[in-house]
Amino acid sequence: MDIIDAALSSLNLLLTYDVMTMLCIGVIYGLCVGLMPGLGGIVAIALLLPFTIGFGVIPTLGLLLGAHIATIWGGSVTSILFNVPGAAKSLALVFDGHPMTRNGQASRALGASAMAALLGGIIGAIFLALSIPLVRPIMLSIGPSEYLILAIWGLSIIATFSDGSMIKGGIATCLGMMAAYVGMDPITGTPRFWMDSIYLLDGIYFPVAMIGLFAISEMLKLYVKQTSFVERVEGEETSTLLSGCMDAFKHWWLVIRSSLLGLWIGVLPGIGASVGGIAAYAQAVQTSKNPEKFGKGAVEGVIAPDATLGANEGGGLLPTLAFGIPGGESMAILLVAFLSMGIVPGPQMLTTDLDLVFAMVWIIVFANIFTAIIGLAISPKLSKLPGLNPNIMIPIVLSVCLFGAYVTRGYFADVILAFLFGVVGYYMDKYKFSRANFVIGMVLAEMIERNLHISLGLHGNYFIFTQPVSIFLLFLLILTTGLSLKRKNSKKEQLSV
Amino acid sequence: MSKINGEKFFIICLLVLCISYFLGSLAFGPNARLLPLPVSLVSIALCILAIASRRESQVDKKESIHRELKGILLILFFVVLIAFIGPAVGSGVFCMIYMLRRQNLNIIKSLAISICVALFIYYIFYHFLQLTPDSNFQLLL
Repeated sequence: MDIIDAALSSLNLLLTYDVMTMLCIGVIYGLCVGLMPGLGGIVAIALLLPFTIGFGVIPTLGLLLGAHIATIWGGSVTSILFNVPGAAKSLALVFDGHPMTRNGQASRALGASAMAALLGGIIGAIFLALSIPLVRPIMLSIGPSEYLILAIWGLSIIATFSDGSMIKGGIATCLGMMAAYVGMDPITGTPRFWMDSIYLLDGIYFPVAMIGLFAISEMLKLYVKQTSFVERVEGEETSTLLSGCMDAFKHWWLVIRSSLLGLWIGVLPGIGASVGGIAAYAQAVQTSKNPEKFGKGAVEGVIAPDATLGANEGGGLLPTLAFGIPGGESMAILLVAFLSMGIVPGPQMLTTDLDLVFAMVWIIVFANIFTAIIGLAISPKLSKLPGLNPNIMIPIVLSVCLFGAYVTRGYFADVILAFLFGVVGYYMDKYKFSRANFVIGMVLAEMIERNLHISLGLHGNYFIFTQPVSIFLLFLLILTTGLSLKRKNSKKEQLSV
Repeated sequence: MSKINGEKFFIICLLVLCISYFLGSLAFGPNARLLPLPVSLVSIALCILAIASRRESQVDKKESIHRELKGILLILFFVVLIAFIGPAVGSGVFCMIYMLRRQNLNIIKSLAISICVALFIYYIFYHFLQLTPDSNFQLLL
């Protein structure tokens, strides 16, 4: 009964002119930042921090969370239209979203993306509200060895992206992991592969690498081919936004599954939505009757990651507020904002301050609704962007990318790094070394290393077999990977027959 | 260069990179090389497999690498522009030169578009997002 009271009273707090205006401003700002390659939710929230002083707690939460939610969808748009993930978490949208654009289905992809994010956000918020009393014991039972297996499970999907050659897919993943190990070892503090450069001690900055690998290499490809920005495979734009929205409802079971996965990954501190998007994509592939469609423009490949990203943010709030452990990088910045507003994380957030938690849950729901409405309204214009003249788009996109690479941290070395990754990305794409595998390796390498060290230190060499949850997750990992490979092989055999 | 030879050359470059990485990681302590060492070993093995599994019967086609080199040099030119005249002015100058050469626009149109692009980017990054770059070359040295 307390929970229902808290939910209703927090809704009452929210339905005011101030809060709704701030929420709208946050959403519009978030969409603008999200459409800039390389500038993700972290930058958007960090830049809003000075504005958290002087307003009330709830309007400020509306501004921050509205911006945060909209940035995520903005990142999905750049992934779908330009093959440039706006942030690490939007990476999984590149795999099928951009092929849909190439197939003349940009509007459908944008519609499906907006609707899946909206449904994911709402489902995630509802389940978050329902699961608050149950989540605490589960959160406490997940340790480093379980995180390690989850990360390895993320790596297992390289089989899906290794189009034709598993060897090349493996090489790309290993290269990504090798790139991630440049810089200071997180456990021992040993500098690795730093070539006596202070810049490399910090490691390779992920957004800059992505700008190079995806955006600059695409511009180089466009320059070499001299076709339109997105080379449409099946003629002009044929799809509609409505068909995309309906797709999200048609695949309702996938939306629910992905939302719950996103919620769960959000609740587990430290995993981050980038792993969530990839894991959602992996489960969509592994449970699909036609996994060979993925990577070529399957709408399920857009729906699953977006629903996960939508639900992930609600889940991420729980460890942030209850234990002061941020669910991801953006939540870490939000935590700073919460502290500056006088919101102190702790178990009391799930008892005496429950109405504040519910206010945030409602804000996430409204932010998702506003983002979907504004996003769908501007989508028809956005979907025309890829067909623009390349000779106008190349210098403009290159300018935004290199300028973005430069000013995000203020290092000129980031521009050089983006250029180098651009050249490598171009040749990887040309010779069919999956760039997605490279990024997956890069994202998961640090998590694998950190949790491997901690697990070895805590439980010894046979750590996996001493933890019952680890054994269960390992069993799931082997089962899903084995089934996926078997299905891929049988499809290959059928095709050859 | 033919496509197959180009691919072979690319894989050999990757192999050299992986071998250097492997040798580099030998210098670290057991904890620091716990993952870099096996990962580089696996990548070396995969590169060798990739070279060995190249099928000579595959249809090969000659490709001109001139355009690729021109594209790479173009972006490098932009990087150099940013280094010497800053990112905002560099973007404007790059856009203007590119449009003059490729789009065959007249100088006034190119100038107008490039000034708009430079101002837009400058305004978004510096004023709206308040990001101020610090041209720190020493970090690279």
